[in-house]
Amino acid sequence: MKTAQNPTKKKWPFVTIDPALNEYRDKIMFPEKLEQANKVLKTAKLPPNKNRR
Amino acid sequence: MHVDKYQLKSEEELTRFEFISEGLNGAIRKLIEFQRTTDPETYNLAFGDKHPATEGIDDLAVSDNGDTEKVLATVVAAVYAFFDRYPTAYVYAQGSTKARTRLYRMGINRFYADVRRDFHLYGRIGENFADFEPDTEYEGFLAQRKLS
Repeated sequence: MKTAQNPTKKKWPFVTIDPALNEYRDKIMFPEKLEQANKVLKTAKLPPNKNRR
Repeated sequence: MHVDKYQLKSEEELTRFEFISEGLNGAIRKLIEFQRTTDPETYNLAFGDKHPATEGIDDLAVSDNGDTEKVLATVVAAVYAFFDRYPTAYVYAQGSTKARTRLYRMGINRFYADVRRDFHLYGRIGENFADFEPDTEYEGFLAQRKLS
């Protein structure tokens, strides 16, 4: 059985990496929310990306 | 951010998080999902209760578990962890209802000092995103990590 592991980064001690959650990685648990966001992003004007190099 | 928060579990790519809210109505599993959108640079933040039976999450649920501030602090913590992995991404968030969107704004305002130090933050009105102002009502929010 897979068990939770300690986070690899000490920076985030409140986050534990749990391989058991990998099954959710490619699942959309709330498709309505994604649809809502995609509808907004289709027409909304995003601000300039200040982190683009 | 020195506010009490719940311990988070995440899958290895830091796009799905889970935690357990413990309060007046018992233990409630919460799921935070950073969803890829049609915009390659933007992820959508979805958050809600996880139903044991259906495995679905419900953004409309009102847990009333007496721990709103701790829950909001935990979501904000997940956002920080996500951006640590995806520093150039945008994260968009919008509640399923106006009331839920106001709750998001309340959460941002609660942690505004930290948030504005660490993020470029925008509020959406219609099709336009403008710099976030704490007293303005928005239809959605967009954040990007400030990189040094």
